[in-house]
Amino acid sequence: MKRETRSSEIKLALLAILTGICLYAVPSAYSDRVSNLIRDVSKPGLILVQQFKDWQPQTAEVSPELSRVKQLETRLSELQQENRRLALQSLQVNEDLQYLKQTGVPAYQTQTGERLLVPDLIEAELLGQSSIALLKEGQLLNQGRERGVFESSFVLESELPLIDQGTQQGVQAGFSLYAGQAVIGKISEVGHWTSSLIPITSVDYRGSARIARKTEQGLQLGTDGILVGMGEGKCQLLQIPPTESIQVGQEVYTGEVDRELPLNMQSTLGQPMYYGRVIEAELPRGAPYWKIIVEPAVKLAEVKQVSVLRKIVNPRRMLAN
Amino acid sequence: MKWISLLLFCYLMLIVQISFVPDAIIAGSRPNLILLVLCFALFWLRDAQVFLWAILTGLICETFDAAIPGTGILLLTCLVWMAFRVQAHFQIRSLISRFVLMAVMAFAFDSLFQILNRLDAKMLPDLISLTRHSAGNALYTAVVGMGLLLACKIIQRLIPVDFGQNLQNRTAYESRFSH
Repeated sequence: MKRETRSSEIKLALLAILTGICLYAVPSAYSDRVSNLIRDVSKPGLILVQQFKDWQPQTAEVSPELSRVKQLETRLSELQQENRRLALQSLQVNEDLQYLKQTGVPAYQTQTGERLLVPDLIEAELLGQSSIALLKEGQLLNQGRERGVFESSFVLESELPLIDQGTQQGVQAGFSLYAGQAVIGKISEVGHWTSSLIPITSVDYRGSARIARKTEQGLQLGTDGILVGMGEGKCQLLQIPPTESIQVGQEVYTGEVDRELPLNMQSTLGQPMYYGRVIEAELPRGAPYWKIIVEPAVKLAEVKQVSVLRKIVNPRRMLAN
Repeated sequence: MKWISLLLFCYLMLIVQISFVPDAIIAGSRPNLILLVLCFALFWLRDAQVFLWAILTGLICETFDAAIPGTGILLLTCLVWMAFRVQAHFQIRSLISRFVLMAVMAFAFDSLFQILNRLDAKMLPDLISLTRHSAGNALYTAVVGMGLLLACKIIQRLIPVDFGQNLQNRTAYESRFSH
């Protein structure tokens, strides 16, 4: 009896080992079928849980402790912003120092010349649904329609959020939008008075981005990748090679150049701007790049005022002429 | 009956692992509920059928961890074989010994599974952080397992229903061990 038990134990253990070896050896198309089957089986339960989660009533009352927590969270966020600003400043100083070490200080004292093109930020308000509705109905800009003072239909028909700045203010498609030091999107369509914007979480968004590592020497920026929106309040950072050391919690900044835009449309402030934080990082087997999920620093719903970055001819150079 | 009950338990644990465990992370550690299913199968079945559960749980682990196919099954089979021998030899019955067994299995599985799957990509974290992380996960898994075992015991005391064979399974062991 005992021998029979031992024999069945060995047989079943060998069966399990053989199954494992077979799964390892067969082409991935076959092993993927098994994985897909397991995923499909788990789906009904997951849907049920999701429905249950959506159904749960939201507690509306805000207790004093909660408001205190909110205050502390705001304070924490302010301090984090300040930290980021200081880290970037230190990065800039380090870069300048490296440059000076490489090139050496000139023998004669030099004067800093004025740059011809300088970045310029203009404030813009995000338009609410009621304002957009009035614009669509022509109730705000209907006086000059015959003279061409009407809003571009491309902008108004867009489902994207709108800002109250357009071609009149020198806004062009592709210009970046910021809330403080955080990137929130880029301009999609430009009308006379308004422009639509693509949030960074939109599937249509693509921008150059890189991950910053905190080291003893300060902030170190990694290789440029491409940040794309996932459409669910999250973004994905693509084309980061496996040689990069990526960890959850690392910060993501704008890349050196936006590869999605032609050179004449580049609109960067000359310093990295903040995208958000890495919340998931995975390097699938044999994959040439990391799979990185980024949570944006700022949600569009929380923002009322944004800054549009454009490049203008340096006013001081204009005055000098 | 045992198989159906374990299958239902496995499905429930899988859904909980995917839906609720991400919200229950403590100090970066998360329990491995699928491994707990295998441990429960080991404690409950106490025969060679546990290897079939190693196949099933290994497949689930590989699927939801995007791991190299086969590694989960091989690893779990080896671990459960050792655990099976240990359980049969020492006739493990007490909560404490089961807790230790679950913790050791979870630690070994977590660390070896990570090593096997990250070795290929050359992105293995350093050994100390890997050990610390695996130890955290293992402890969390064992605590949850012990909680479930206790819950099972309490339910058995409160509801006088015979599920065929309880987790203690007194008849399967020789009488020379009393713990």
